[in-house]
Amino acid sequence: MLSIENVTKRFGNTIVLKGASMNVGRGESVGLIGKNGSGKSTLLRIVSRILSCDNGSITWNGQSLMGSDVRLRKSLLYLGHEPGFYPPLSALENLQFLAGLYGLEMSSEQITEKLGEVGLNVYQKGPIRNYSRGMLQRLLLAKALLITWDLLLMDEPTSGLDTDGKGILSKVIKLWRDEGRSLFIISHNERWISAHVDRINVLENGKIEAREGKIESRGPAEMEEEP
Amino acid sequence: MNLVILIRKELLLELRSREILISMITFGASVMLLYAFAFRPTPEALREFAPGLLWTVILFVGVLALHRSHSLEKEFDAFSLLLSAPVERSTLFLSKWFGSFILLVISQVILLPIFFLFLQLPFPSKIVPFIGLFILVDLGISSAGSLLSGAVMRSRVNEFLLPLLLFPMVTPLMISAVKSTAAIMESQPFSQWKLWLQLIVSFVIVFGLVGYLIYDYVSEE
Amino acid sequence: MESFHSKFSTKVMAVTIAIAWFSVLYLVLAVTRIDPDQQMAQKIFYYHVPSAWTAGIAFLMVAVSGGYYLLTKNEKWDQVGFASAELGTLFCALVLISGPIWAKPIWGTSWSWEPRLTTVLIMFLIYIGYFLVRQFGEAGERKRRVSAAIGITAFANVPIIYLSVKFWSAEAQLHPQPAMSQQPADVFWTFMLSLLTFTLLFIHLLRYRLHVLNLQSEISGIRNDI
Repeated sequence: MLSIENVTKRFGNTIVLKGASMNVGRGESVGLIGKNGSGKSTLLRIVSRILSCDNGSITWNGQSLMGSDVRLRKSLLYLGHEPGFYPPLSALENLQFLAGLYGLEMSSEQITEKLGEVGLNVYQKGPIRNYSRGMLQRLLLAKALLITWDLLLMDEPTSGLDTDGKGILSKVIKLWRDEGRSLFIISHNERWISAHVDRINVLENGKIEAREGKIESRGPAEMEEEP
Repeated sequence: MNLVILIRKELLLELRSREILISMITFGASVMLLYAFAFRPTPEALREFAPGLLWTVILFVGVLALHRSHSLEKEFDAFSLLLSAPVERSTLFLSKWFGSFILLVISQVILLPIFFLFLQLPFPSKIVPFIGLFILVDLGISSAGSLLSGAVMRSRVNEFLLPLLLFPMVTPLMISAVKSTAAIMESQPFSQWKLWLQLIVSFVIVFGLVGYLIYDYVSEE
Repeated sequence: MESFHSKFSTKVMAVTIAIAWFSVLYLVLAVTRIDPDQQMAQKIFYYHVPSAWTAGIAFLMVAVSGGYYLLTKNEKWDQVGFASAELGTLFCALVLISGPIWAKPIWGTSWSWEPRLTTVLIMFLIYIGYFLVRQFGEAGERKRRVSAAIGITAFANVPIIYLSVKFWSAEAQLHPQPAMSQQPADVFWTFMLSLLTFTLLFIHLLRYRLHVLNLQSEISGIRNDI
């Protein structure tokens, strides 16, 4: 279980997070919504240890994530708003590198298969510098399909995706939820996120509160009508 | 194991982009060309200046590699992949250190013969100590440079902050390198330049250690 | 918050420094012997060396406070480091100014690449880089972390810088090497008093600078709350 307690973060004179607290239980999918600039991405990057917080604690299964024990991070996977890959390398090379970092021995065929699942196997050899926003987002999905994780941290996963891409995304999220894996998704699109998570929290004025009210679960087909 | 994967990534990036090695070699050769025209003393006088000229070029060329080692991480926010991965931050430092070291050595394989050719100087007869010296000094430049490059990578003016910080920091290394190179080129016995070698080794150890310990703090966003 | 200058400790310190300063001045001008070779130029030694000593203490404090900041993330340590770096650079500048003033009549040239002065020059340049990073680098917590890292790295380099410059050129070993313990009493005690005065001055200026930085920090906090 992920537990975020009283996290505070300041950038210069601006306090972005003021004692933010929330949990993501085992097998739970939790969404976090909020206005642009509210600090959602900041919180996710703190959990991923890309950023450090000024105060507070973050634990995963009872162990602090804020120390330098890298073994804890093996079961967490971060999919950021930016691609997080190397532009001169191909999709195949980027994922091979990633697999190596996570200690996975994977053949080119296995990685190509994952790229195929997100519709990128045709483009696997060229540098990803030439990829569109949507293609990069699909590559992020391939990353999540490749690496073994217990908690997935996703920042605006629909950004740049076309209808097909969103369909793939919805399908894999449903698959992960059915498998009982934990998801922590950030989005400014409340309608989309409410169809893909068990509950929603709202980040406002640096604090997190649960969104009251029933979440209507809608299937991927209904979500295809979303802009 | 992670270290090998990370260093391989550094070299693969250069193999795919072919940006920096060509730039390093071209820039280095251009500066040497300028030296050949700007300094037209007698061969004996040039021999006296040669070690200093050589190491100045190598330092300038090294800055290109050091700057690039972190600037490529910013494009597409690739660095966040490394920071969020189960990799020790000190291992990241080692990969940057050895990655830029390898690029520096490769560039020198081309630039050293060009230097001696353009300035019409004889290549040192004691090849092994000469190469050994370059390897040690390159380790020193890349250790200090990798730490400082990581420190200034997110600044908007990192192109000029890196040399501004690096050049005074590596002064003792450069002094020792110039003195040692001069001694080797003059075929002096090892006892004459042993002291400089000790300073170079001290520099490599100090900066390697400091970088290993504090890179964690400068790499975080 | 109480004004810095109205605090009892500040007044005591200021009076002590003033007394010590003018005592040193009197001793230097009226009591200590005149060097037969260097004449009056030698007297700059009572200010030049303590300036270098103070710069050294300041840079040590930059490194130590940098280490404490990285470990504790307490902003106070960053303030100590920054204030110490400012003062260290100031005293470095005093060394670089007083050195040539002495050198001109003695060596016939204002500047020569002798080891100690060169080491001070290199440290001066490194700390200019430190300030540029703080000015043009990122803001906030990352600025403090990077500054701490530079402060630690710079100080770790000092012994290597000094040794390399010292061995660099035998003919540049022009700097006087007085063994203080062998100096006559008037020279020794005047020098020690000057050393003490400069150290107290450093502490006083550091306290003042920290007071100002603390006020600035409070004002930023209030502005942010508004």
